Amino acid sequence: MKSKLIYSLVLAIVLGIAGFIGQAVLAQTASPSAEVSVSSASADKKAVEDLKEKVANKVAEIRKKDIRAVAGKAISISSNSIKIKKDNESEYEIKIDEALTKYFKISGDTQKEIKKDDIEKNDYIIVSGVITDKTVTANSIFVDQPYIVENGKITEVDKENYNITVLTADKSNYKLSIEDTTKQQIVDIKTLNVNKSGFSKIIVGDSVHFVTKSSPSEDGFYKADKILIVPQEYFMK
Amino acid sequence: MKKEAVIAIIFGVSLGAIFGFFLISKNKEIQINKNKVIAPTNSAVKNQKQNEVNFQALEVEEPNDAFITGKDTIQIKGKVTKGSLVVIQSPIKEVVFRNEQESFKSDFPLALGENSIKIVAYPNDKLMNIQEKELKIYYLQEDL
Repeated sequence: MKSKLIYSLVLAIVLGIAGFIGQAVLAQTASPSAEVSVSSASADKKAVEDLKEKVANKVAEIRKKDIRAVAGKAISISSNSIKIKKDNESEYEIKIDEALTKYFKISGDTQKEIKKDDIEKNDYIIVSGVITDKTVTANSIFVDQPYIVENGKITEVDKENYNITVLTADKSNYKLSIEDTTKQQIVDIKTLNVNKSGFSKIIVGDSVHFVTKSSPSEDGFYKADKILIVPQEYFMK
Repeated sequence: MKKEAVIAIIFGVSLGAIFGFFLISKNKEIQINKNKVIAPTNSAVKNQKQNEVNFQALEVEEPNDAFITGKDTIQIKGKVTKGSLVVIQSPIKEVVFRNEQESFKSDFPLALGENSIKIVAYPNDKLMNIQEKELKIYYLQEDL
């Protein structure tokens, strides 16, 4: 009596499961009803289009977020890649897509489109694209002029040759030649206004902030584009 | 050996050990007293604590390094010790100000291409070091 009860219980469970699976399969394989109206089909199509647009927008947004820039000196150029070296000596491989990558040259406040062949070894280039580890898939490549923006203490003033030596916080020595074209400025210690200045006002011990193009001359001098002096008197107050 | 002699030896050794222990511990005490610790005065400690409380390392909150923008200006936001002289310089602009509050912000113009921007803070307190940060910001005209 007891075993009969168990058998019938197991049978009921098996039948129940079989019925449930059968219903699900039938629901999946059932052919579309001929009664689906034309209006509902077009509504579905519109929904699909909307979804496609949303996905495309999201992909564009993610792509825009992933786009970053890296800049350095071109050390080797091949047909489909460029290798660059950054200031900190790390190297990046720039992958070029013939169809997608665009090239520009920046001079002053304008940029003009150039061809890949216009890029030469040792050119300073900015690459925008998706960066993965040390590889950049380039969207655009810009040839630009690099600058050094530094600061330090003046340790030497050569009044005959219009040169100064600057010691930076990382103990680097920069020999700057002050040219006629160098923009010389000084901070007024009372008002903190930035005023025009001259070479005669530069004193050993002053702090200086300077801008120069990155390559020095053969004798190791950098032509200063501009200097800003913070007189030592400011710190004695 | 006589019983009395054995007792005397044991008694003598024990007394010697106690005396030796007393001498060593007393000597240690004298040495500690001789090495005086030179502690800073109360005012010096107070000033140092005050400096530690006021010190704020130079932080640039905005923008991030290697930031790309399509606009020709950017707002630089950061924090530094109150009263510091802040100098922000790039190839096209320099801004000098004393930050009265701990946080600072400055609108800064950008040149087309790479903008190397150096931010230097000279703290009012001469004992504190000059702090520096460098940013590379890219103003690029492109369809991303």
